[in-house]
Amino acid sequence: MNKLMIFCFILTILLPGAALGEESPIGKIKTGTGEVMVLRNSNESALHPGDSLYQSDIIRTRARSSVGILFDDNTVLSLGPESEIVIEEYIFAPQQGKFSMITRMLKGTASYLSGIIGRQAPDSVKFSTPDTTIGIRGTKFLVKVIGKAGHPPPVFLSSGP
Amino acid sequence: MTKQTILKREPKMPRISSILISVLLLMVFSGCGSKSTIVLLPDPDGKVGQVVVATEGGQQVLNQAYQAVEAKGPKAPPGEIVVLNPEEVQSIFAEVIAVDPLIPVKFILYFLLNSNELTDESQDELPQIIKTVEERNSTDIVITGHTDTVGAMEYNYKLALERAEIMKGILIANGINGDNITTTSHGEGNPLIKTQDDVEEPRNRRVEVVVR
Repeated sequence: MNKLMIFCFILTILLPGAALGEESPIGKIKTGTGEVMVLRNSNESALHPGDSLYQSDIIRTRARSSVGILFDDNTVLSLGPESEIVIEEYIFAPQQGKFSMITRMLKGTASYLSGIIGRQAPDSVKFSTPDTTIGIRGTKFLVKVIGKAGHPPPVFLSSGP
Repeated sequence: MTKQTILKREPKMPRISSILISVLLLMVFSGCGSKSTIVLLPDPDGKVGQVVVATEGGQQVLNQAYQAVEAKGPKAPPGEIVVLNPEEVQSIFAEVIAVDPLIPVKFILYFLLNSNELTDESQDELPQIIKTVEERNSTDIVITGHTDTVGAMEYNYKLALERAEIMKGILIANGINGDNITTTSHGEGNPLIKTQDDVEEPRNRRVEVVVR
């Protein structure tokens, strides 16, 4: 009972922070080449090193473009040219024991290196492609996704007649 | 004998073709052009972890460096595991490997019991931290304070935050721009060594300084 009360007390301290968490940055662009775009709240804008990322961001790289992202928990995610990835959920709240990173890769190439979330709560890391879900046990991997027939990569559109 | 087999076979034929047609339809609707290749790499420290590549049809476990697997569509099981050589991997993933950011460097400094004073050994690590920040031109330094599980959670939350702030002050005193430093407290919630509640553990009384 006593423990429960302490827990509630802590929650009241931390909840305002948790509510803010939805709009607070989750990581930063560290490196980049060419044109890297983010789709956020239905607006597309360019990303540059030093820029912050937020939950629900959709990150796209154009031809001959690439980007390196460092998340707050030290997860490293890099994208090669003509890639697209959705950060569906990112929760890094170690003081509350809350961790989640749900990433959906639609196309292109990516490199992923686990951070604290992957070490503390590997089951809360979900990385999916149109074909698979990838379960991660503290590690580094590369992914290449060749887009679905229904979603041709832009290179097909621009090379059309 | 032969008649029997022929008789048996004949009704099977339409079944096989209908299976073929449904497989083809399935491929069209599930996006037959879609294909994912996953390659496991060694971690920066040389250790090799594990990834489980799963589809609705099955799964493959990669646990050796440079093992790779291909999945074609969400229904089919992933293909056989193959081992690529590092040069192949480099050529397929050249652009993404080139842009991979430097991995943050982490320093762990320890405190005396129920105190915000650094141990002597940790004092000695300070020059290395300053040097790393300067070498990387880092404008992103994150200090996280931690405690062991002795004492109440809310007290430890504050103590850990105090430790992080003390550390920030030390870095500023050594010429690092305070605007580039963020401090947070994990209280007793993120121990280096997992213990029961109310256990003294010097290795949990720490700040972690991450130079990003």
